[in-house]
Amino acid sequence: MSELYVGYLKTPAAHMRVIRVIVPLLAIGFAMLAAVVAGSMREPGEAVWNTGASQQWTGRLIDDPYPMLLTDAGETLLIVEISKVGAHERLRLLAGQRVTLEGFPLERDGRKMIELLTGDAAFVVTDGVAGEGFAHAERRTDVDVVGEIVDGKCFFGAMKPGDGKGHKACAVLCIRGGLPPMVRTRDLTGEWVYPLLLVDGSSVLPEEVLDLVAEPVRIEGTLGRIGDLWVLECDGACVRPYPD
Amino acid sequence: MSVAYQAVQWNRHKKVYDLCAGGALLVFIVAFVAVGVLLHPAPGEVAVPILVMRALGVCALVLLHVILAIGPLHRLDARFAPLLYNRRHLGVLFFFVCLLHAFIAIGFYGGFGVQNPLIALLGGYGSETLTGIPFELFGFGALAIFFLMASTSHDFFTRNLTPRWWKLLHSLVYVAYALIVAHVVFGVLQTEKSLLLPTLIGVGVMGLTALHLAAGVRENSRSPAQGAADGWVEVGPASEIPEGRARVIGLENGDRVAVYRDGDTVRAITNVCPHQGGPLGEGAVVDGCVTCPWHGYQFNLEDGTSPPPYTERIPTYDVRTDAGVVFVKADANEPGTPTQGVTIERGGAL
Repeated sequence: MSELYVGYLKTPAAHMRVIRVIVPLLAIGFAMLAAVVAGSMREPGEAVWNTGASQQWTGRLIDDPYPMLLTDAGETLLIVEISKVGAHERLRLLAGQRVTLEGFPLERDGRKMIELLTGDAAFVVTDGVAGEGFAHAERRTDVDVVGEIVDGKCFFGAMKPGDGKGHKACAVLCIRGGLPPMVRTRDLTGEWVYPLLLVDGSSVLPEEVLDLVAEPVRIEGTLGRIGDLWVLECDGACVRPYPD
Repeated sequence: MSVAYQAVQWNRHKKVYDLCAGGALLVFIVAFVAVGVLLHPAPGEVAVPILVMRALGVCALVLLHVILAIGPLHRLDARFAPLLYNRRHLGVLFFFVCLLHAFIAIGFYGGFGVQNPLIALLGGYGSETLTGIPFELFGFGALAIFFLMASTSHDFFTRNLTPRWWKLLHSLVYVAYALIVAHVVFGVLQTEKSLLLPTLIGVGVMGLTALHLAAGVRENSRSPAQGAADGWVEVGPASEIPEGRARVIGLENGDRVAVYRDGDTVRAITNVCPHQGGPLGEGAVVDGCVTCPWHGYQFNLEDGTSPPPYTERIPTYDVRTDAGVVFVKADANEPGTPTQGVTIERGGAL
């Protein structure tokens, strides 16, 4: 019978042999396991949140249904604040005016968003005529889409990954804070598109829809455009778990 | 063993153990983050806080499996005793890994918003679907149990909670393990497409279950419960008890008795160490005292008391012999009660 191992006495030879095998094996196993699991993580997607140097954009500001800038270059850029807060408060009084905004760009699959700088220097009312380029939901089309409701800011690069169940609590918090709810889905050509989601005409989602954020959902609604931004409108009952 | 409480009673083995555990933890985190950064370069990178949080989470999961495997492994093969000796420190280290994982999750996912970060993370959403169950709650429940365990891991609590309640409290680790599995299944497994994690979780759950079952079966086959005749239970021939070791028998009331042979004398004590419930019958006589295989607590065979200046006492049992066969009395003596034992001749014959 082997000797008894007692922690405060000299380790018996049989136990030392096991230690000499087990400890290195565990260390190597730990490192390999870490590497394999880290390597198996899914790609969060190519999204960029460029906080290195601020940029400026000029165009017409609208705040209904969500703060956005219709730029002179023809882009429709959603606007968010730093942190998990929407830009409604600061920009409400500027709605309809031609402004120059300063902030950091977020970009995913060619679609951009502006994270507004803090302080008054973030926006300047600019001379010139505000363009007409606001065509909210003209030529709406009935659609039935399958996708995931994401909070636009995280998904466009502020959090990586910014989708899926692991990010659900954050996404709900972000949308509650006024960040734009967007639907991650594919168009008929298979390309990813991210329409702004409006439920009962508002980007403030009701609780029953918030519960479905970051999960596969099916949405029956109407698709329209504001500039080059897709807008998906529906009522709360038309957002359902997918598959049913 | 101590006569006064100390934060940690360091010895060389504990220092080496802790260095190895800390080193393995560091290796795991560094390897995870390094591979995560290398395989997912910008602009498709995983955010560093999320990468570190995941590294800590996976590390905690692996550590928990190691911690839970050590017990049954040691029951199956005593050579794993060095892993068991300082398992408490491993448990406390594991708790801090979990805590850091939770801090990053609460700060990063729950922070910077319009709600209290903790409320945002734990009460931010309800469940419309089965897969939508807030997995964070499972993790928080497990963390609360791990906190209870880590904060009561010191011998002060073992003694003051009484070993029975302390053991019961620390058995909650299995509830916490189930919560952790649910945390993973309803969390990361809902998003990650790789089959690696579900496979690892499945192997881990099945492996731990198999180890515990094997250890339980072996324990029962070693010392099945025996009925008493006239208040005495048969142990077997004295010659079959190895020198300096014990034979363990089960009683009908669920207690186990360690029947020890020390030189020419056979005596019996409880099989349960009052420190952390270690199996005294799997220990040995060292320097004239029965020594627990878990943490080296020692007891005199004659009366079940620890050698001075220590003050622990354990129940003893009366023994007798009949035609070379040892019998033990089914009723335990009060802790610290001296017993006569029976004397056998050299070679085991009575």
